[in-house]
Amino acid sequence: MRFSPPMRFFLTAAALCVAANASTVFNFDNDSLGTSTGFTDTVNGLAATFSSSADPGGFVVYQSMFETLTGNVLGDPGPAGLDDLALSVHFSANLSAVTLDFATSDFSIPSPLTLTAYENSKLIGSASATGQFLSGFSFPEGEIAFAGSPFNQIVISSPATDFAVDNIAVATAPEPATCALLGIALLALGVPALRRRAVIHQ
Amino acid sequence: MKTSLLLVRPAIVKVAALAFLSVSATLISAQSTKSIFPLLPPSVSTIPSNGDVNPYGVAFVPKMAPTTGILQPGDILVSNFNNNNNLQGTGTTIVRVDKTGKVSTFYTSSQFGLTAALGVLSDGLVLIGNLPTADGTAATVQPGKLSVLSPNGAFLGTFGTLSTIDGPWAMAVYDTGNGVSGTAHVWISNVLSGVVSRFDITYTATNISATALVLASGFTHRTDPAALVLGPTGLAYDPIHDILYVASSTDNAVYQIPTAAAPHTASVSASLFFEDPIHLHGPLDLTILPNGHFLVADSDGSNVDPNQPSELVEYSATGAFLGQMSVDPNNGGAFGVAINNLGWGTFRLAAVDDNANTLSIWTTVAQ
Repeated sequence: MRFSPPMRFFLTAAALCVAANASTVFNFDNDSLGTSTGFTDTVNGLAATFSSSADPGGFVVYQSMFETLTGNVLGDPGPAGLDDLALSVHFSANLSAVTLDFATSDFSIPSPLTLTAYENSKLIGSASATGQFLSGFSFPEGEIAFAGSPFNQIVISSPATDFAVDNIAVATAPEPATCALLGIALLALGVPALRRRAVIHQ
Repeated sequence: MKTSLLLVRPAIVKVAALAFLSVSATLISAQSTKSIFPLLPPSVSTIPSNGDVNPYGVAFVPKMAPTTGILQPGDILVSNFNNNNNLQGTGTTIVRVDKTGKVSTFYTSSQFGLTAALGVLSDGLVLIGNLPTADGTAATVQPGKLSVLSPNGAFLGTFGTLSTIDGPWAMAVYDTGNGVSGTAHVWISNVLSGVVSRFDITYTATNISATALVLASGFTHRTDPAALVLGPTGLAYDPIHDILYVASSTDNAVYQIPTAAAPHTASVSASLFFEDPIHLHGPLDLTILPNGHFLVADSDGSNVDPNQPSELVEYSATGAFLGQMSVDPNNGGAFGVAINNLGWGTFRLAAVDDNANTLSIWTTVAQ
């Protein structure tokens, strides 16, 4: 299948966007074990600040004891020793989507995990998911995703006594200037192509 | 375009990370500069300076309790039922075991016979029941009181009347407080009346108040020349299902009371959860492990078996026997037991040995 030059340009740009966003994952593997909230991790220039109401030490980075959460994870209780905490993550740029892996400290009935998104404290929306027990592992694990209007903070909570998160993958919301530039570029490439096609047809 | 489609995670990341998987359920927070020492000793004496013996109640100080008082989060309190002459119903002390295992006298009461009705609220307020005797015999046993103490061990007052406090023998606490203020349900088993009562407590930094009701009644109870009294004893509350479990030392069974925290204008009926004449021997205290299993302390006050002395008995969430462990080679040693959830199934278990007058502490993982 052959694409026209403008379409090739668009697909290339989209692929570059996917590649760039796919690598923006906060997985705590570069954090030292025992690192506790509040702290900030930066990936691809995007900073994420993790905090809780029990800081210092509400949540802590520890080695995974789960299947889908790998390497290091972030969970409670941290050095503060408190349970039933919510985890807040502030991002240095607006996001359009987020997904993450989680585990809840349930032995029988898995508790739901809720992710609520905010834009400068304004509620944008929320999502909820419940994990499943995986063979050979003690606690339910799952994945939760949210996409919507631009947001720069998420708050993660659960009725479970404790929970852990990992692999927080985010897609940054395109800046208006970037959109405008992309539009101009597409226009600049597309108009001559259409003209050429019109000339050939004549 | 769906933005979630942009969230592609390379499979290689997961594959590589699988190499680091740990199936251990033990939390690891290594690379700290803090020393692990001193370790809490596995067993400490519970005999205070006045010589009180026969430790009954065990309670952990909640994690969110303020650190400004004598009590500190994670401390363990133990109440003594006998005095230094080993007369039942005459002990007056609560001892405090701190995180290093150091034992001190937290409170000396003017009320005699401190029982297993011992609990601590989120702000560090202590609730303690007593069942006094004049001479250590059942002939002189009295209804007792439910007292409230400050986090520094000062007496603040009492709750209840004879209808709700008549031999307070054991306690369960469900507290939603934040370390400063809050509300709590406190259940009391009354061994002289066969009544389980509930106190709905509201507390702030400067005030504590309660309303009381009879939640359930009709539990078998009697005095006993050796055990002093037998009846409804250990209590454990399951907030998910709103069920209060009651261990009965007379008929070696565990009962369940539904809607235990709900508003009631009349008492509710308890039903048999399970009975086990093989493994239950005068069960006195009861607690629920993080995985939903039950742990029962056998006082050997009834159904004594010399071959199964002083057992801690574990049952599944459905009441099936799983295993047991003796805390003393002789009968009559297992009384108070409590746990402190450390997260992800890891918990600290504290249990008294009534014969040796000691408190043993273990840290283990529920599977």
